[in-house]
Amino acid sequence: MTSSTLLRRRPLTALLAAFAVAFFAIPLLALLVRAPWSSLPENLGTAEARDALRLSLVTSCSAAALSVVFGLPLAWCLARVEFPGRSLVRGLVLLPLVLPPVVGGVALLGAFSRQGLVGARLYDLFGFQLTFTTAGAVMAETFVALPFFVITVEAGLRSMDRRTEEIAATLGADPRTVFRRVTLPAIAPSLVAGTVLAWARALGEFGATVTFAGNIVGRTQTLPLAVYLQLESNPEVAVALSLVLMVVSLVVIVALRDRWLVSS
Amino acid sequence: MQGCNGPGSCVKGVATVLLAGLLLWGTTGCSSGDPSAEATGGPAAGSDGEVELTGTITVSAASSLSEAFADLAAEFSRLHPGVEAVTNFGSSARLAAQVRGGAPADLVAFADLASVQVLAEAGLVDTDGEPFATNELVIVTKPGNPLGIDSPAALAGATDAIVSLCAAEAPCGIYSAELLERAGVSIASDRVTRAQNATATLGAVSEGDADAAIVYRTDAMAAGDRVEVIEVTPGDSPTAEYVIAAVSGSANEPAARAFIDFVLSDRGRAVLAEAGFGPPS
Amino acid sequence: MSATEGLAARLVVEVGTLEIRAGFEVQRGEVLALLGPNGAGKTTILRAMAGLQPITEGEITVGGVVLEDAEGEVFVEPDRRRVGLVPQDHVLFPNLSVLDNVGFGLRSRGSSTSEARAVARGWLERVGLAGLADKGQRELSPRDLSGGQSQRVALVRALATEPDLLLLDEPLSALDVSTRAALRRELRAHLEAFRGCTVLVSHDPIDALALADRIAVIEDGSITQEGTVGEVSARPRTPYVADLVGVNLLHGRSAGAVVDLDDSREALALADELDVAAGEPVLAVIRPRSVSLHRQRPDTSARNSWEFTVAALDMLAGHVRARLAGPFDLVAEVTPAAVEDLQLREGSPVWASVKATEVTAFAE
Repeated sequence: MTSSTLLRRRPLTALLAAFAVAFFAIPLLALLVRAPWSSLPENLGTAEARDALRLSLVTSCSAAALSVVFGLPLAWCLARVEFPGRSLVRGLVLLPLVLPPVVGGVALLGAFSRQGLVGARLYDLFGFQLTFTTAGAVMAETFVALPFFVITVEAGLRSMDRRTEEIAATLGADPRTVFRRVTLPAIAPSLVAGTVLAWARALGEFGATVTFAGNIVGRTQTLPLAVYLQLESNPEVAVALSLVLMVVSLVVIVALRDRWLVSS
Repeated sequence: MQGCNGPGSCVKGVATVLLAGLLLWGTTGCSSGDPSAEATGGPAAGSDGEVELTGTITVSAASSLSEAFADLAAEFSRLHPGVEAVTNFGSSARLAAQVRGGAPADLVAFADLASVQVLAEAGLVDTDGEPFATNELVIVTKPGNPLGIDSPAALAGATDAIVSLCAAEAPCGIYSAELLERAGVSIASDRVTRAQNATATLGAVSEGDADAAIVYRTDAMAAGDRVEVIEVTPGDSPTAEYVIAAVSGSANEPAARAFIDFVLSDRGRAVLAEAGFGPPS
Repeated sequence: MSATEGLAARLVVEVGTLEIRAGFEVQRGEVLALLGPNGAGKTTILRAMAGLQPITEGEITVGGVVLEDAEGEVFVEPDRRRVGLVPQDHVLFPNLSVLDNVGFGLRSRGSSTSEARAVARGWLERVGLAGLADKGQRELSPRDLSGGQSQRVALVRALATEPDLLLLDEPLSALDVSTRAALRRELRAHLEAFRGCTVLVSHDPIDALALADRIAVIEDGSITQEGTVGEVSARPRTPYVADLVGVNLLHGRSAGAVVDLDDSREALALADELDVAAGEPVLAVIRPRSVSLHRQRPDTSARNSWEFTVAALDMLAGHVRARLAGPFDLVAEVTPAAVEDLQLREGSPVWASVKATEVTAFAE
């Protein structure tokens, strides 16, 4: 359908869609309009800003990678295995989607802080502490990012033609070969989409990170945390950092979307 | 929304109006640019003397005031059943930025003078504010003070300890910087975690794994036995001056005024003292 | 358990509320057609033999090797069964080239990529797709294939692994009529060359008649009749079997658009030219329902009209099968009202006619 047909035949659809676009575009536009363009280089050139950007890229990519490593087997189990309590597990996995991230951070503290259910053991046995570490920031980001990956990949696994897997098995392919040569290629688009969503969510994550991993420059202060703190003292820096956040994610998502997310 | 005056297409116009409506609906009050949207308050009788107060007032207060002001707001609403006092807590600097950005507020209660001055410069408050309480900083540690931190110097010297401080520009952050400066010590930046506001600064110790924090005495008291309070040598701690001011152009100035009077009253002082605040200097 | 060299299956499978019971044997080189209505459980039986659906009772052996034994708790995984499954709508791997689709089984069983491709190319040649597979810069993808081509690829993908057991699940039913006839002939040639056991599932008796050596009819989850094609079609035991395979099978020889019948001097006119060389044996199929009866010689356009004598009248539920003797034997199916109308009795003369379009003929 061309855009002119859209306007003629489905004016209401066009109106609501335009409304949705405006709803997103106007606040982002406002950010661009208010951006201190002339002082941008100097605002982004500070060691703190560069630290935050570097840390954000490292932690969000790590969180996306962890989401794939643990999320893919989980999504597969949810999609393929009928086990008791499956819907309960699915609900549990999706919980971070509705949980306010700060509450997620508090929950993580309850589990993995030095007094936490698991964290206390870790600390007693290995002197290992997650809070206030970069690993802790990655963990907090993974906590909120994982559901996006699992939900997307599970949908991909459910919608693929399972008979191709069965045919592959009859042709002598063991489960690993089936997964590698049939399942993975079939779910590649949702795999990429899920990874990008998880990465984007991790990149923007604030509440769980600040609550669980704190806000230490160079160690756990990611871009969103820097933005939040700078908003009071240096709104210009905050806006400049937000622009970086937007540009980085927009570039990645647009690039991947053309390549992967649209099946023609 | 003024940014959306493109070619006068009907779709765009409608979308703009709807969007504006949605955004207003999402906030608790009116924007400062459009006072008519919440002109529900004001005196019911135009005469002098006792007037029946009605409507809603939004009180933006420093997060260290959370508990005391929640009590005060509830009590105020009992005294003036026609008035609903809505509280909004956050760091003073953040709140000042919000009010300057058009967020609805009828009066502000800040933990420093600087934040009020920001609003005064913008013409959003008439006065520099009325001092109504003071607060001091203390060091808090985990219960039992396992690292034996007994002074700012010990805090700076505990090289393994993670120290939770307020965001540098928030009043509590400014005061703690001053405290450390007066003590002649500094803490390495890779052990400092900066929280959004005073309450979160304390939470990093009481709920999280931070080893120590510099916080308001009032907050430390509210945390009970979840933290150990280490007093700082008198004179080392700067005194935080709390000021309260009505926002100019408030839609409900009489009620805002009445709330300020209530805070300054003996009853108000008593509630504040109970929470650990000192009298205004 | 069984002495057979081929497949011996005796199984019970439960799918939802339906319980399917079946027992059959297939010799090496033999083709068994499981014929039955949709929902009778035919596909489930195939899936059970492939190991995709566990059986709840019974045993499946191929070449004396137990693949599954519900009682003895033997279960050979699908990838170790050496079966080839050809589904109804090809189910090719969309991400692989046509060549790699065919080579998939060999790759999975340990061949190198180049070996697998060489063998796959050979198989594609046999179905006339080799040129296509190599055409152009990029490798041909399943997306580029027509329905018939896809089904040919699915067939050689299964055959390329040289399975012991070939399972064909309605292999022709998703194709249009003309493609179906062509592919049926090709499939027949492949099955003749295939040395393993073949089980063909179909709801179309023509497939069974053209491709199978024996037929087992499945109704409501169990086999109601089993035998050679001739046996079953000559003596259908249930109304369904009668309906389905109780057809007239006439042997003859190709003569252009006509079949010269072997047992008489009569010729059967066809709607189209046969693509079988003249003089080659062909089998013509006429459904009893397509035979119309008349008291006098009909002056309709039907060129296939002969005079018969009624040899027997079999009453079945709702209709009558009239067995006719004449230049050749023919069965007609008519309504009881028509019997009354035509005053049919055993021994009475009657004219029978069949439209040329109602005759299906194929190489024997």
